Amino acid sequence: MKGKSKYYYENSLVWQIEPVTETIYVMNKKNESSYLFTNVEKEIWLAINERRSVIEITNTLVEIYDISSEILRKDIIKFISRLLDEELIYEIN
Amino acid sequence: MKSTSNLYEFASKNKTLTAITIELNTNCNWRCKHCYIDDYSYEYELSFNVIKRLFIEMRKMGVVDLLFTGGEMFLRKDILEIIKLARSMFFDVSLFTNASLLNESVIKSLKCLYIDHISCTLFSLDDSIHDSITGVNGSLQKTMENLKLLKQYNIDVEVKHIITNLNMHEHKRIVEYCTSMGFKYRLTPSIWSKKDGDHSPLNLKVDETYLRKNLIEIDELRSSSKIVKHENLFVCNATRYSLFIMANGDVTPCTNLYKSIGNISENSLKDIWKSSEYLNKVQNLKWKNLHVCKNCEVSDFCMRCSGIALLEHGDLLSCNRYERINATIRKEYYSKGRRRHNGKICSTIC
Repeated sequence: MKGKSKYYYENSLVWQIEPVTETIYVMNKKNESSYLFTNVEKEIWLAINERRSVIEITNTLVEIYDISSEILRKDIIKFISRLLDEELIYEIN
Repeated sequence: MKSTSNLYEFASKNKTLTAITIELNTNCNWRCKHCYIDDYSYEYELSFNVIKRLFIEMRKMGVVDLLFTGGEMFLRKDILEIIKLARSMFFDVSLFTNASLLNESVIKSLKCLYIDHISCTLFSLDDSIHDSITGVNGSLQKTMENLKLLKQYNIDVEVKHIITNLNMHEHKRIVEYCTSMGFKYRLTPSIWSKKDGDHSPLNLKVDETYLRKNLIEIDELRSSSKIVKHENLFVCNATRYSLFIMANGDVTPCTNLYKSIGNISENSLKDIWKSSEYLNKVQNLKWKNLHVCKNCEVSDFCMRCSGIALLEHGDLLSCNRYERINATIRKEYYSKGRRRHNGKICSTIC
């Protein structure tokens, strides 16, 4: 995974922000699996909507969370890898 | 098809608009004898731009589920564009269509768009019965051909079967067919007046003698059961998380409650949802507010609908006479101890 890589949601998804809790919920219509994202995961998910790269997401979130950019970058890569494994997102060429 | 019970429970609790039914047009290629559409001489159609504006607003409000209905939506040349737009915005999309105008190319597209399901109506597996109700020769054959294709492309299908006095002995064959095809099915003997209050469709209802012989079996086939009606039970729970937008832009609380609470050409959806006093009243109606039903001895077996009460009796809070007959039959049956009746009465077909 490269820092400049960008991602977007698979077209099999249904997702929305629940207005009361502001939790992101996602359903993959390919296999009916569903997910809830809050906190950092939610921020990363929404950054994907803006088609931001890993570097850009890291730079944005480091200003919100009191954590080193290296640790944050590793966490972001780990989460994005999970999203790729679950076929929720794909890498934009 | 997905299970959304937790999502809707939460939405009902918080009155979050989660599901919207949109009547994309009123034009239809069938002329079903029981249909609620009162006049085919006018044709309404929401424009693509209006629909796009609505989608953007719905997305911001937290809407998840979109149910497109008609008329017959596949008479619209831009129908696939509308569905594509909705899916590109990650709504969960279901379609109420008679399925007669589909073809393999369209079905392939629908598969690629990951729609949730298609819901259509079969009145019979006998052409002469089905076509006589739709008013169109060959309508059953077209729909059946497309149902085969939908199965071939692994798209979820729900078949609705409305039991009238013209097709009252068909439901077992419909259930067998759906079971063999892996389709869900919904059976109902409920027929309602037209939108303008014309009661002529009620002449198609099956009579009490038929219901006494068949209702329990129909209930069992559709897995409906009893719900205890306590005084604080919301009467119209669906109105707490859903709305209906008609093809002329009018917004109503429900597909069965034809009371306009605003029009999308004049009001934002958010304003209608948040500010309509009528909607607020309907959303907060509880069983204890009903005139007669709150003390009715068969209420636990009843599927009354406030929209139908308004349409047929002019009063949102009144008893539905026909549903009361059904409830009485159920109570008599179960009070004889033939079978224990647990769980909840499922909703009528909306």
